[in-house]
Amino acid sequence: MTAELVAQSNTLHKAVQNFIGESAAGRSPQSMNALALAILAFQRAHCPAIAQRLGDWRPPAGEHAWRSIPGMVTDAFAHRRIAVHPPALDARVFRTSGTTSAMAGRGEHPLRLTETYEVAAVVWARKQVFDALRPAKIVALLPSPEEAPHSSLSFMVGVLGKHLGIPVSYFAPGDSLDTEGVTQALRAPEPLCVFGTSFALAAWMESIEQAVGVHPGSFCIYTGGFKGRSRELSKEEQRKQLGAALSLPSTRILSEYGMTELSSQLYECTHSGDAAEGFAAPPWLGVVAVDPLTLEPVRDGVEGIAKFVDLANIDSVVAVQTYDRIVIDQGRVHLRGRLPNAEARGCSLAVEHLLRPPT
Amino acid sequence: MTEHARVARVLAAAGRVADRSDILGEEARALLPVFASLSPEGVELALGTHMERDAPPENIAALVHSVGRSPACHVVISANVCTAAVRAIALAVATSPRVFVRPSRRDPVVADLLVRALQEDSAFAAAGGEIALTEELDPHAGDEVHVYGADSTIDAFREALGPDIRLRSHGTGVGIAVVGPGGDPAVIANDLAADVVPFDQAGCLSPRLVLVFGTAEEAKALFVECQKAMVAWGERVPRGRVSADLEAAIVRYVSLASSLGACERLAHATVGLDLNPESLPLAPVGRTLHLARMPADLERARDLLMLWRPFVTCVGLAGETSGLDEWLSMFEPVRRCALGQMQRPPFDGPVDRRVR
Repeated sequence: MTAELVAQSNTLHKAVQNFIGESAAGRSPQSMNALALAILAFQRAHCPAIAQRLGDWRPPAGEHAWRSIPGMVTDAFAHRRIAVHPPALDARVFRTSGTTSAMAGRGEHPLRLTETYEVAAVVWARKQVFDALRPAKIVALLPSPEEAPHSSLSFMVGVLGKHLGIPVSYFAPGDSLDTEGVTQALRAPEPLCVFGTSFALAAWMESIEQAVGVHPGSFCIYTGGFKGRSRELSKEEQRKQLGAALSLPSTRILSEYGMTELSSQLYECTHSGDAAEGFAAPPWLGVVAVDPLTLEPVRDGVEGIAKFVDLANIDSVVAVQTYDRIVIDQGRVHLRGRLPNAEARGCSLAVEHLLRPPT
Repeated sequence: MTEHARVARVLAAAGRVADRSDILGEEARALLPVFASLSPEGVELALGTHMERDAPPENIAALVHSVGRSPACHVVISANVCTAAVRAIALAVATSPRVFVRPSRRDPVVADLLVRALQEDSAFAAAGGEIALTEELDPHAGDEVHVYGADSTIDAFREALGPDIRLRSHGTGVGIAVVGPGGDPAVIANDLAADVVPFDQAGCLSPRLVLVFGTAEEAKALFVECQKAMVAWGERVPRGRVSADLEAAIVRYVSLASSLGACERLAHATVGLDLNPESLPLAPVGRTLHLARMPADLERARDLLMLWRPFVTCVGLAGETSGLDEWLSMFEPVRRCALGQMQRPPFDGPVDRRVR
C-alpha cells in the first residue's frame, strides 16, 4: 500500500472521527452523504471486490445517494479479503462465528486502524447507555480480547471498559462459560453491567437454580436472539426471563445489535423512559431496509432486509448488505429475525447444512 | 429370481407413469406441475427422459445384490426429485417382498402412482410382492427402513428406531462438474445444461459447482457458453415456479458472485464466474451455476474442496481430466460419469454411494 493510500485513509479516518465528535457534541456534522461517497470512492479505487460489486453504479444526485449504494453481502467477507490495505497492515482482524452461507470458514473483517472503531463504539455506548447507567464493573460472558483476538464483541467490550474506566471481568475462557464464576460475580454489592450474547446468557440461566439478586443499579445488555432452543423467544420473553434471573425489571434489560462486518453498533434502551422501542443507530450509521428481491429501499414501516452504511468502515466496505429482517419506524430499527436461506427439498444440499454452531 | 422379477415390475410400473397415454401418465402430468413446482416441460423431461423404466439384466442384478434382505422394508421418500421413487421402491422390493411406502407429503405423486400400478400388477404379486402406502411407519425387529432426505430427517429416524431395525439412509448431497482443459466449450456447456435443467437442479446429483481446470480464457469461454446453453435449454424447458425464498437466495448469490468476479442473471438461470477463488460458495438451486477456475496447484485445489467433499454424491467430467485422477480420488466411492449423464445413473444400486 503506498504512502499516498495510507495518507488518504488517514484523512478519511480523521474526517469520520470529526463527524462522530461533532455528533457527540450535539453539533451538525458535515454531510453524511458526502463522507459516505468519499469513502466509497476510495474503497472502489483500491479494493477489487468492491469495484466488481459496484460495477457501473454511479451515485445519483441528492443528499440521500448513500441509501442506494449497493451493499457488499456479508457472505462475501468469507470469500474475499474485503479491504483496501494488504494483510501486513492489519491492526486487527475480526472473524464471524460461522453463521454465513459460505463453504469457506469464517468471514473476516480486517481493520488497518482501530481508533475510529473505538471512538464510534465509545461515543454511542456512552450516549445510549453509560451516561445514564454507571456500573462499577462489567461482567462479560465473553472471552477476553486476548483470549479471543478475532472476536469483535470481546474487543468492543474491552474498548468500552478501557475508555469508560470500568473494569471488565471475562467469564468465557476458551469455548466454555464459567457459569459459577458469573453467578459469583453477580452477587457483588455494586451496580454491574452484565454483558453477553443471548446464547451465553441462556446457558448461564440454565445453570442457576434460583434468581440472583444483583445490585438494583445493575443492568444487562444482551446481543443476538435466543436461537438454538426449541423455538426463538420474543424480545419480551427474553427480557422477562433475563429480568427474572437477575431480579431486575425489564427496563434494565437492554439490547445491542452489531456484527463482525460493521464497526458501529446500535442499542435498544428501555431505561430511558423513551417510549419508542427499537434500536437506535448512531448518526454515522445509515440503516436502510431493502426489498430482498430487488434490493431497493422500502418505505418506513415495511419489512425489508438491513443494509448498513457505516462511515467507520473506512478501510473495508462502507455499505454492507445483511439478511436480517428489519422494519424501520420513526427512525428506530426493529429486528424481525433473519431471512432464511432457501432450503432445497429433501436431500439436495442447502446452506443450513454448512452452518457451524454458534460459539 | 423373485427379487429380480419384482424390480422388473417396478420398472414396468414406471413405464406406465412415463407413458402419457396411460391413465397413470395422465395423472402424473396433471399433478406434478403443482406438487413438484416444475413447468409442464420440466415434468415431461423428468418423466420422459430421466425416469428409469428399463435396465439391462446385469444392472438389475447389481441393484439386487446391493441391498440386504428383510421380512419387510419401509421406505421414506423425499420430495426433491419427483422420479426418485422408482429407484427407492426398486431397492425396497429387492430387499423384501413386503414393502410399505411413505411418500413425501410435499410431493407424493410418483410414489402414489407406482404403488397403485404395482398393486394392480398380477406379475408383481406372482413374484411375491406386496406393497402399500402408509402415513406412519411401523417397523418390527428385523425389518429394514430406507430413508431418503435431508440429514436432519435421517438423524431423527436414527434416534427413533431401535437397534433391531436396520436403517439405510441417503442424505444431503450435491453434484459437482469437473472440466479439464481442451474440449469444445459449447459442447461442454450443453452437457452441463443437460445435467442442471432436470428437476430444476433440486436433486442430490444436480451439479451446483463447476470446477474449471484450465486457463482463464477457457474459463471465460465456458462462462459465455454456459449462458447460451442455459438460455437455449430454458426456452425448451422453462424453469418451474420459484418461491420468494429461492428468489431471494438467487438475488443474494448474484450479489455475492458479482463481488467475486462476474455474474449473469438469465430468464431461467444464473451463471457466476470466479477466476481466482479463495473459497467456493454454494449457489442456490433453481439452475444457478457457480464456475470457479481452479488453481494449477492441485494441493490448493484439494484444499478448496475439503468442505464440500463430504456432500459430493456425483462428479461429472468433461475435457481432459486424466491428469486429475489422483485429485479426483478424494471423492471416491461416489459415482463419476461424463457430463450430460449425471442425471442418468445406471440402475445398479442407490445413486448415493457414499459410505455412511
